[in-house]
Amino acid sequence: MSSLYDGDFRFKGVYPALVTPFSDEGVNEKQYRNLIDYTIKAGATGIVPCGTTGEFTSMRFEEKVEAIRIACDAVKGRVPVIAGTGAAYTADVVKLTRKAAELGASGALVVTPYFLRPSTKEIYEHFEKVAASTDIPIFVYNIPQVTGVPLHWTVVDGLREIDGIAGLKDSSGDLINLTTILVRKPDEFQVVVGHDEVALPALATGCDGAILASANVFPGKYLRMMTLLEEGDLKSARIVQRSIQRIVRIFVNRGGGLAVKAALNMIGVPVGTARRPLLEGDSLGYGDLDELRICLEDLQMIERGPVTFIMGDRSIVAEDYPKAIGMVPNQVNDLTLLHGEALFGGGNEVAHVDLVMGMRDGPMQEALKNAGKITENVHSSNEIKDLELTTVFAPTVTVTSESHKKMVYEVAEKAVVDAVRRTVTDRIIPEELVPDLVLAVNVFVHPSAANPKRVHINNFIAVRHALRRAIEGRQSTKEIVARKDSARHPFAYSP
Amino acid sequence: MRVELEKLGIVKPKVTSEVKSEIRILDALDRQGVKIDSSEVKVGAASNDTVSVGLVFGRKTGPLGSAFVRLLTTPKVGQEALTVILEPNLAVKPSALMFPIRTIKSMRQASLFYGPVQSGAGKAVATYLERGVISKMEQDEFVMIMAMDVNLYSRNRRQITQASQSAVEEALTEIWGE
Repeated sequence: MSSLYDGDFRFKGVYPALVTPFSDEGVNEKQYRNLIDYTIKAGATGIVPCGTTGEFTSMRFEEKVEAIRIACDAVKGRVPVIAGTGAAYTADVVKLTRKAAELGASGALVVTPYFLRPSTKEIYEHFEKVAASTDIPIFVYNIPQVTGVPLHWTVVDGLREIDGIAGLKDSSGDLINLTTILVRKPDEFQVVVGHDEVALPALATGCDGAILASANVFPGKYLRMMTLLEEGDLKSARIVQRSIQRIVRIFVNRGGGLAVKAALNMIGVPVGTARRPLLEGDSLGYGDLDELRICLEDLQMIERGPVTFIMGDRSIVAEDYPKAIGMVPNQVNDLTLLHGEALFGGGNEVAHVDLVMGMRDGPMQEALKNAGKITENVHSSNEIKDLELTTVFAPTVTVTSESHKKMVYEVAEKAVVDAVRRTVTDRIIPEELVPDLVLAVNVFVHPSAANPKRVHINNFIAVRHALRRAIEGRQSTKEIVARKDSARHPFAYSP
Repeated sequence: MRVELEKLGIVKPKVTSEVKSEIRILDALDRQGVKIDSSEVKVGAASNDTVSVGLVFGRKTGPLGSAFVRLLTTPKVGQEALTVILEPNLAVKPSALMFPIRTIKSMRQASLFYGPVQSGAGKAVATYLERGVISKMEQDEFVMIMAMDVNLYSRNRRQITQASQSAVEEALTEIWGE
């Protein structure tokens, strides 16, 4: 009775769910080809054009055809192409899947029909129709968090019997459902994980491979993870997942294609920005951008190069400055008074930092002059002991309790120390410059902050971001003007 | 809660003294412990029913640079200065600080000042940046400080943002022209 997929296609390894670079006219062919070459060189064993990360819902039919055409041509037979051919209505899917087959795709990735949220029977018939219309294998794509259509394992039981359905991509992140699917499936039914944050457990439980957004940037990491799992080295595989957990959390939760594009641009693979309504600075916040960059630096994917610090007639060149493309100027023109601001984290553990940094013999003297003084009705500041870069710590909130005091003077102050040291080891502040500099950090710690670990992490991150922004002059004037109307102050409109 | 009750007409809105009509920024800074020689800076001021502002623009290497550092490192209780931003993580250029001329006594008032008032001030500066009247040199080498007053019992945040933007834009004409 069962009609399992008996074709030749076998999913192996990791395929990036490719972002789609756009130009004014449509798909940016040059950037797309460059991206595809990059991912294949980085280890991708296949590619998926027009998936969720590819912003397929923001593309016209002709553009999707064009993207698939370019993808099939650009691989030059090196690796297979599974084309994203999903749409909200069946006829569109059939049309695009047939086109994909014509263009040379080895298979099609078809999402459950979304928005109108059809019934189980309607979903089943949709997939029957699509599979019957073509010879290339179909992978069912389950991503309920955006489609509104969850595929229960019992429905998958039925779908995998349809002639032509070869497998499933599961991006739900729901390990309960996925595990059930994996342990009861026949070997021929190919299941791949689509949610980067649970790649390790999904692969360890039996997924045949992965189609991931982060594989646009580092497909090699997942290949390594799969090899380690095959060898039975779960401990090392966990270390790989740990090394990517933070960056994939940003990719998955901050506008998908938008975040991956930002990362690719930073490492020197230009892919432009996402289409509206996605907006850099919004779904992908400035804090997220700075964190993305830091994660990429930690993965050694950011090129290092020279940045010149100029103070009057003297200058120092920081040779190994991490120069994320588009974010770092070639020189810092004046060190009299650099100013940076950052907000990071949420809830009561949110960190808000305002800092100024500059040469010792300048307006920063004012910070040193007043450090340690106690004046009525003024929040006092203190020079931090034993920190190589002279730093004045200036909390801007009235201490209300013993625990608040600890939070401010032990936890937050320690976070400042750690962030300053880290910024020097990151080679952003050149060591030779340290003796000449004075830094003053104004911090806010909410009186109800309860979680010291999060207060530390948030302040650590915020200070790192603020220091980078101060030195690099971010956000740029261009960015400020571009966001003038769309910027939304969180307290501006709600009571 | 009070806001909602006032809006429903169940509770009478608190009446407060009017917004200060003319803020002398250099005097305000003096009261914060910062003395500035007016010959080295440019000042501007403007006000409407809801918001009033006095601002000063000067070189980082001059007295205003020191004032900037001082305001950030020795904040006065209830009148703490914060960066002028369009939204968190998006500060305007040139670097600017703003502080309230009246002492803030509650978290709600704080969110009013460091919310719609701050947002409006940010939009005003961004408007001038958009017009191209602030040169790159001024953005890099100068700083700005604003002292602002708002009706602390105001209820309509959208209106406050607009009033703030309007007042600051008007004050900025005294520095860069229309």
